[in-house]
Amino acid sequence: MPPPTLPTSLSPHVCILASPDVQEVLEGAGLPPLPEILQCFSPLPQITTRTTSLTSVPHASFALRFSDVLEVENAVHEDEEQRAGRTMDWIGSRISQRCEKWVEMLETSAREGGSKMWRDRTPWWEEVKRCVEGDHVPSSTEGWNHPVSLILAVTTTAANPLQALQELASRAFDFPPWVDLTSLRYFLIIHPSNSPLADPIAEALFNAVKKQYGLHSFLLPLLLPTDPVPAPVPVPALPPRLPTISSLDSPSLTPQPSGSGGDTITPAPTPPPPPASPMPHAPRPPTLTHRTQESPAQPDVEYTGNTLRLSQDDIQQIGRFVREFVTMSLVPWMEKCVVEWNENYSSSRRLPSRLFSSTRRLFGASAAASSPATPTHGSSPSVSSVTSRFTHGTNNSVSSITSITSVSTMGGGNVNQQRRLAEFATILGDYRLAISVWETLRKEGKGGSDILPLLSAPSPALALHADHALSNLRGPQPRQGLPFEAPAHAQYRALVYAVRWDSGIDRQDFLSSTLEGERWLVKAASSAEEPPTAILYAHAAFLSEIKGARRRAALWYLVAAEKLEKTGIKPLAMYFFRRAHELYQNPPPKELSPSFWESEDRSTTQWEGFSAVIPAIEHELGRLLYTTGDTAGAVRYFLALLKPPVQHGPQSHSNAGNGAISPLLPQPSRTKVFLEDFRVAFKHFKVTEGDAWKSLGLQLPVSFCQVKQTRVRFPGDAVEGDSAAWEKLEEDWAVFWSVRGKEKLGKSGKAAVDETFWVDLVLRNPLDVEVSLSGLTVSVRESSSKDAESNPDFVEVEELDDIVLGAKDTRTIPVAVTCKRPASLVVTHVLYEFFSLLPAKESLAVRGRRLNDTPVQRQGKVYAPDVLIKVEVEEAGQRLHAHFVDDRHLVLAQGEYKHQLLWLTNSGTRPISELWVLAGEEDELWIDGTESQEASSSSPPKTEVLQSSNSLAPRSPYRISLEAIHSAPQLAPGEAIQLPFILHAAHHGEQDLCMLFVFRENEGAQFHCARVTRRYEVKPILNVSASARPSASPDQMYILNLEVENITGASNVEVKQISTMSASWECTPLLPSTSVVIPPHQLANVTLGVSRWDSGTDPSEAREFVARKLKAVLQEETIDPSEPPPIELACTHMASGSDIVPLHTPATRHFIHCGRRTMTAQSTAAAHPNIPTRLHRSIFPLYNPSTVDIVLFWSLPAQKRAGHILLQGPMLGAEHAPLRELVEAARNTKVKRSMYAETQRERAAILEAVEACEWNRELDPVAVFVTDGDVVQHDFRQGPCPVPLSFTLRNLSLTHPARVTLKLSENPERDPSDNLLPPPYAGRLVHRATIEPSRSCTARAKLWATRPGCYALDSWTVETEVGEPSPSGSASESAPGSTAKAGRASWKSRQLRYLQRPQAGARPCVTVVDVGRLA
Amino acid sequence: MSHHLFLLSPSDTPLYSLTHYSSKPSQSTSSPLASNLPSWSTSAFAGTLTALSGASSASQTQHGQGGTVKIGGGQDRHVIQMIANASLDAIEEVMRKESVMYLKSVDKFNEWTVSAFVTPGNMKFVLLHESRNDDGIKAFFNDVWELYVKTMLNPFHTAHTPIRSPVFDARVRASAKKHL
Repeated sequence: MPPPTLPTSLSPHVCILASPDVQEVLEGAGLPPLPEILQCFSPLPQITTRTTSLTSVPHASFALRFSDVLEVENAVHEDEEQRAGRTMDWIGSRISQRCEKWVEMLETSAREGGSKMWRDRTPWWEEVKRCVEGDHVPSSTEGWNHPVSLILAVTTTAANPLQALQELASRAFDFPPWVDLTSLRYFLIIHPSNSPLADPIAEALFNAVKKQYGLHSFLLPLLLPTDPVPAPVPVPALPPRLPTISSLDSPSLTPQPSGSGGDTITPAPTPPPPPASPMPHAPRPPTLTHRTQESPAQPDVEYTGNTLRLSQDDIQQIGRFVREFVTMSLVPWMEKCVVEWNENYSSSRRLPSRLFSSTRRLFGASAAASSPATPTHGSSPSVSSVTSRFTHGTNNSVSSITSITSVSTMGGGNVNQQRRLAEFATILGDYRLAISVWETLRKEGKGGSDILPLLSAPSPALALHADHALSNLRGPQPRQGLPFEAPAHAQYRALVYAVRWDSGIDRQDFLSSTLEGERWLVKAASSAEEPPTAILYAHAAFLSEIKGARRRAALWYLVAAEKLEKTGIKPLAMYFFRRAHELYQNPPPKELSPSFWESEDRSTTQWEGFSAVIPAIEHELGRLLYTTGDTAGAVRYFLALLKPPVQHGPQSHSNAGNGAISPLLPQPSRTKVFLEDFRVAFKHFKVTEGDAWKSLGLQLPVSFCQVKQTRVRFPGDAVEGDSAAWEKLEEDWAVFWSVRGKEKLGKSGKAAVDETFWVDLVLRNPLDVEVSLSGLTVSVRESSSKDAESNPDFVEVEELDDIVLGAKDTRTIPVAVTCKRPASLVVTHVLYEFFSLLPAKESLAVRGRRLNDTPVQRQGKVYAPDVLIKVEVEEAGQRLHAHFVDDRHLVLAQGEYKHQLLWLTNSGTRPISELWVLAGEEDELWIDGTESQEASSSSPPKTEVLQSSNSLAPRSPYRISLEAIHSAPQLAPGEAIQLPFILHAAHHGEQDLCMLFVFRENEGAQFHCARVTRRYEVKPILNVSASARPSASPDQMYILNLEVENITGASNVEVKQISTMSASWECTPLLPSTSVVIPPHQLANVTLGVSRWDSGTDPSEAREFVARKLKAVLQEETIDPSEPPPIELACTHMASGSDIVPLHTPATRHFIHCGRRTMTAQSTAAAHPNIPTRLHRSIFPLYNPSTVDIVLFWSLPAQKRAGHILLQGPMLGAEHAPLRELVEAARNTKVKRSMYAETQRERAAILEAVEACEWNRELDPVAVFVTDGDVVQHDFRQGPCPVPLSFTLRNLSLTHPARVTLKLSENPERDPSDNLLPPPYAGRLVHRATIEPSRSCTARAKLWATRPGCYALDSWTVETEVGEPSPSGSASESAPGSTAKAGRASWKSRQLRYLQRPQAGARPCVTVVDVGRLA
Repeated sequence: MSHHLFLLSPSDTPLYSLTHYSSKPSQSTSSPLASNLPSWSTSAFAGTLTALSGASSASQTQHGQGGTVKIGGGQDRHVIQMIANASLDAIEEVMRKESVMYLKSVDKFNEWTVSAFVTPGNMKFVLLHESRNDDGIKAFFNDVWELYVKTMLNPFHTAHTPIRSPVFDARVRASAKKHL
């Protein structure tokens, strides 16, 4: 290990006591005081010392420190704490005075490419270092500043030099008792050339002195020419010294002794080395080296610390003196001391004393001594009384050494002989001895940890030494981060240590990973809020940056900056903030595979980092700039901060911590603070600097407009309606018209001249604070003009003021635009003023679609040109305005008829002669000009036959004949017509009535359209349900029961008429029909008998049609577009009196058709989801012949409202899987293999749906009716009673015969707990019959009752087999026996068999009463 | 006493962050400085002395309250984030030397100790904490890792996708409550 270079503060301290005449002589020659002159010669080259083992150690440079005794005496009396505090403040003030220039200098040098000078050092740290190194006041804790030697100086100009020397020698020193006075006394006689004594006499005087005071004396002859004054010689600057208290009292804060000018740093770019250096001081500490460079810059100052007006001869003389002083006196004396003290030291280490001490340690007699690393007891009074056992030996110093281990200001000193030994050995370069003594001291807890890192080879233990040294300083301190600040002197000592480590340890070693010296600095800095500690952080950051740890450097710069900001040193704080910002934003490159970035589709430079860091730094910078007067810069920073906060983690509670304590209230939004600052700063800027802000080019970093959602809205556009519904209507029209002509429907997306249209801007506030925008408008240009000149004069654009958007709020704001002539306009930008302060402009262009056409486009990301919002403005030729006359909110009852009036105005310039209207598929409208034609026939019949097309086809657009509702065949410009229509509110819930009017001027012209929409609400008032059951009566096959419930809260509902419609069934009321008034929440029942109706069209036609079409579907053939054959429906009306509404009234018929269509379409779509909807109309008919539909006309008499409800009734009659063969065939055909599993699945799904659909119903056709409730009176005295029974069997099928077998037998599964008697059947127990369609037969059976009682008739089974209809279709009713033979011949089974037992709930019974016993 | 967890992508982009206030009493470990020092510092009587002087109990209660009062998610959030960011330097250095996933405490800054966990996919979990709790932190990191792996199973989740899953968040919080 190369010998370490000790910091200058660890060099011998030589005090000089000069008689007053010395000062006079030097002042006369224009020279500074003697210590300062001597200091210039300080680092002596080539000094050799010897160790205790007599090996010589060469010192390339040997530093000395000279000071005035009086100064030291004054300073040493000041309280150490106070002095440390003063020192810290003083350093701080020096930094704050100079930092502005430093920052300026560094910035210029960085701009100009940078001089190398500041690459490995920083001016602020150099300054701190110089201040700390320059401290020469003895401290009670260490002996470095205790004087090693005392030079007593007189001149021969004194009246009596010998006398003067005598006085000096006998002077008592005014030092505190802990100052070690073991020092070498040296006598210096200065013999200036203008002295009254001649040279020989001076020589004689010198001899006398030698004789009297020993050999440590020197005669220094000096020329000291005054005329001409010698040229100034540059010398190293003196280290700055802390001003004394008295000088601080003066108003000027400039540190006097060091001279304000001398330390101002204005380095010359490439300073020449000092031409005539007083001594060849080759290797000097870097501090001094660079200070000398400043000297030429200050030649005109009267006296500076940097030049000395000495002649060459004198320089030689003084140099010789200093050298002789060191080599002949000081070093030998120190060596002698070391040898002597080492004797003492090693004797104390011998066995007995060690035993003694370790015994004591073992038994804990002195806890203080034994626990040096536990600093907690430093202030404990029980400890301070323990005097040290290290006061033995011949220590002639006056110190009253106690064993206070931690640094404290308790009055005692810590400097004893052993410590002096260590220090002397260190100075002399006897490192082996020094290290061992320091180790001993350290183990005893008397310091040394701070010096050891300087002397030892780098090892991890050094970091622990450093830690220990610092923790000893801090004393008992809570480990955790309380706002606890160490006392000033602890801070100061930590600073001193840090400076020594930084300058004493080789930079490379210091930064190596074993030492991590930059962390020592941070530890030394701790939590104190003083400029020097901030500088420590900054230096640590600087070192980290050199080392490559840029992120750590950023952190430490940030801490340094925050500390400096608190102490008010703003320029430097700003500089550090900028450094932190810069370092943070440029993290070291990541060693990641390039394919990582590729796979993530990210750029390597894209780095987001932590969300709070940059805003915090920029905010601080902005505030600093604002307070330092740079409003423009501050505004820029504040503006950049207005970004939406980034969230990491789930949105819900990303800010909240969890756990037991949540110590803080929800923090105020940072953005709010930023925004407030921005507003204040910007307002101030506008007030003070006028329009200067315009040149700053400020851009708002957030955008409010959601470009993609921005739309242009024209007056004709109905905003409310569902856009899909409108598209559907337009499509319907296109389909409708495509077979009729070629004229296209003009797009509605055009604005008209002089007509206002709106740009609907969607504004979203991304910030979490409320913002206000004023002057919101859009900029519009003509698409032909390329220049971005906004708003041509023929366009008027609205400007909106004071739009307030809440936090995270989204609002749609329409901006009205009016154009005065036809043009093609482009809406380019949104303009607004942010808080009425900053105008902002956002583009409304949307990025074009991604292009994928060429390989180049596919490999990269290429987009089509931006899409702008374009508006065509045309002459208002063909315009129609439609609106409802009554625009109130409509609340309708379900099924209500509502007469509506629509107002149609031709607002264009051309007449309209053709007008069509389209409405939604499910909207039921009746538009008829000839409404009052209702021929009220005297008494409409109770039955009627309704013709229906039976087609599912949707309604086609309706052409409004203008002649009918208007006086002229065309609608001239400006004219208006009223269009009356009836709205039938069929479906309950919120509904939108959307009507599209398509119109044109004349035949062959283009169509235009207009929209109108009406929102209404439909509430149900009736609950209607229908049920049917087979009837036992021969008059009708079924009984249909209708249940009507009034579900209104308060109104009576009158059921005026009930009509039924069916293709195969005819209904008759079983009771004389009356008008039914149902009170609220009441039910009414209506019973109808249903019998077969076969006088209409053959219902099988429809069935066959479906079968044919489904066959095509299953065989995957093309479906021909033919529609089902028309059908006739038998209608029966039940109404009170003659007030019957015939169903063939056009409006009613239309509504019924529409309602039925909606129902069938919906149910078909639900049943056959895999058959496309467009094919439904050519596969399925509107009416299934077996259904019975019910129309119920109601009225609310009190409210004069009326309407009807269409109810899909039950499907009656049995059917026998008419599609079975079809399905079987499809299932059994050779499966066409398909590549796609989905196709197979779809095919299977279609098949399943067909099998399950209503056209393939299958039902047991036989209904069994047993005589029920008969009471037979019998006298059992005459024997058992034969009770006759009849079983009526009815074939409910309309088409197929059925063969039935009725078996009467005991029911083996009979419930034994039943209280009814089992039926004792007698006679023929098996009855067989074949029943023709819709016929019935009766089987007679007998019950052999042996005792009175109630006999259950539940023990029978009916087996049914369905046969194919006979071709003859004979429908003659005959007894079961006779037809059996005839039927058997042509019997062909349909392979459908059923077994029927009594229904679980039904309990028919026969009661036999014993009349004999009664009699 | 609070904990701050950050999940950083391989490119050091924070994907998730959590602030956890622990309810557990801070463990009264002896000063970390003292425990780091060589053997001389372990004195048999140090404990007795501190107990006699009564200073330690006072300081403990003080810091029990003080720790939570000082650092929250509030104004010095950026300092917390800076510390986490700065610790990446140390983490990378340790990663070069060792190939374990749990890096124990890699860095220190004032009262904050930084523990880290590096997944095989080079995700870094960084935890700022005030007291030593190696086992708890290790268990916590393992939990978070498992949860993270489950999150990564989502095919739409890349190494740069910020984790916004409330399930992940809830589970991490539960684990933090359990272990920290």
